[in-house]
Amino acid sequence: MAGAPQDIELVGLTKRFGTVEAVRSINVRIPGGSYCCLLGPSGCGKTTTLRMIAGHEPISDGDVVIGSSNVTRQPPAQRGTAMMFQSYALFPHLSCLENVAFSLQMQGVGKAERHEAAHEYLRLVEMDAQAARLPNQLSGGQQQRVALARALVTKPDVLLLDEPLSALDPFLRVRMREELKRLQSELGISFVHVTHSQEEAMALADLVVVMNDGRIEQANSPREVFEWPASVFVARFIGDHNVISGTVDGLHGATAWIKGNGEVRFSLPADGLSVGDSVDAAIRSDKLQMAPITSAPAEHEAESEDGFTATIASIEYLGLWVRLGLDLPGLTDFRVSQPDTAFFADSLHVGDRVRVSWSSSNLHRLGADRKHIH
Amino acid sequence: MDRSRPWITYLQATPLSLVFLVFFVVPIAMVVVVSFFDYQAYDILIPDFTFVNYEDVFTANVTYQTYWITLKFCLTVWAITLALGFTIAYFLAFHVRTVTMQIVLFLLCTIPFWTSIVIRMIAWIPLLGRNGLINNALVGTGIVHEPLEWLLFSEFAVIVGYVHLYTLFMIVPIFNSMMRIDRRLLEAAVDGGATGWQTVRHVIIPLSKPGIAIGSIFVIAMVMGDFVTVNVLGGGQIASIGKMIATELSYLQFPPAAASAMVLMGLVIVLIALLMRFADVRKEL
Repeated sequence: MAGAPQDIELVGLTKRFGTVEAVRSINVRIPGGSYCCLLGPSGCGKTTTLRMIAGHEPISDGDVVIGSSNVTRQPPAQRGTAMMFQSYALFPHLSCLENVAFSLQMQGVGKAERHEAAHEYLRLVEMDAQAARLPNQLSGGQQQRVALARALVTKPDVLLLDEPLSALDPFLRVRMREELKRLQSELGISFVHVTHSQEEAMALADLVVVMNDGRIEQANSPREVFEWPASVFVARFIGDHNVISGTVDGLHGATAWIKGNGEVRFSLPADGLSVGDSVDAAIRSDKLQMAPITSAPAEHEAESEDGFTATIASIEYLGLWVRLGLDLPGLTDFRVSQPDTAFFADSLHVGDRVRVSWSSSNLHRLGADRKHIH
Repeated sequence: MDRSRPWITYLQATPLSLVFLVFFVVPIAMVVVVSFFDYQAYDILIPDFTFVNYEDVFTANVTYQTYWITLKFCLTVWAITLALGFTIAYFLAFHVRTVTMQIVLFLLCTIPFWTSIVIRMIAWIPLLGRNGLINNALVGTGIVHEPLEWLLFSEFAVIVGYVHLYTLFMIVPIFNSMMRIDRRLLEAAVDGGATGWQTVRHVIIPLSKPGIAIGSIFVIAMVMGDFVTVNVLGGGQIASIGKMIATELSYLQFPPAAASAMVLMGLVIVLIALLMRFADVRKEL
């Protein structure tokens, strides 16, 4: 089956459960041989999308195209896809070997031949030594490897993984993550991986598809998603970003001045903005300058451009970084990340007043959310 | 668990143990004891330790004939109830989508049990009788010229009665097993390219084994011991072990009846032990 890597294209893909639209006419092209992560909070439609690609969920509208064939109405086994289920769904009455050989057995492959193939794939995931065991005699990580071998044994063009790492402990998760990536590049096929962890998506993906409320918010490389989030939702979901919102209250040449919530003022390139427009912008938490204010806050009333004065509400020491939460009326979840050396040089404490500022080139204007949920 | 006071555990197990002792162990022990007693026409229980009753059971030709007939019934009924029970349970578990509908259909299956076994058996007579509904319909439509004689008071009627009575005992445990099957396993089978039949054969049947075993135990134990159905629908022409024991009891021959009962129990235990090898029933408990 697996020849040249096959692109996957979702065209106006829609899923309705009764009157509820779980997936709302999404369009995306996943290049052949790439690692794609469908990322989003629970209930955003990512798993439903994966199941529609796999053929386990009837499609309400739109098409799934793999390579040059429209597989919308084809049964799962004829799509060239294989699915690795959340919690693995290994057959409890079959040994690892028989689990892996299952699909070959269904095709009518002889016992010797299918067992040989199964051993080969068990070796690939380093589970050959446990071939005779039953699934409930294995640890979660081992079960996952067997499930992986079972999915790969059919030589699929596309491997679909439904939250494959969520049941593992953190250490194992990172190890399996590396292994998934290694397997994907060795096999040269597309992996489509559903996850709610932005860290996982960033670490693995060539293409991150951020979903929210049944729609695609952004589909880009991890770096693009992180550096240039498309919407407030993406900026918040991807983490390590602060979102500030405000209204344009003055235009000076190519610069728009914005009055934000609370006492925040900032500027953005003017393009297309006019006075009265509301604007959302994001700034990475590590691109902020922070300086302690030693004297009384009243003296700094006349604040200059981009920035504000706030009180430190929380301090989290994370090793390489120290993350400080700031308290300012009108701003929620505003965080500053400082390298540990910089933080300890200043010796700040909770309750200290600080001046936060940024270079306006680091401020990234966000598009409107596709749909605001309140 | 508090390891220092193991007697608490024993205390907790005491009520059930007592119930078992009084209502199960003691009666069976008494039957065992009586099976070694002697008897005469006017002295029905003579304490003794004699193997005469067992010798009578094993030397009489009629014993083997009766066992053979009963086993034949048992096997036929088992096969039919298994096929029916599995199919109905499969339909209920995998094709009925809503839980409400499952409950409604399930209750429908239990409706025959709202009346007594005797009435349920007698109800077959107007249907299967010489001038019953089926014969009238067959003669009326000209399919047969004479009413069929083998419909009632025959082996056929007995089997119909058994299937009617015991299919539910197959449905319930198999349905229970099937409901425990993770639906994702079926998707995994389909993902692996299994057809509907292959999924049934390679996934559903193996995982329903405990239910099949429990249902089989019910059906086999009940058919082996039955005498009501054979009496009512067999029309006095057909023998069964249960009926043989009942006849002995009606002549007040308690020791030989006890011996026959022990032999029957031994056979049923052997059959159940064989079934237990086929499936791990403990998983279901």
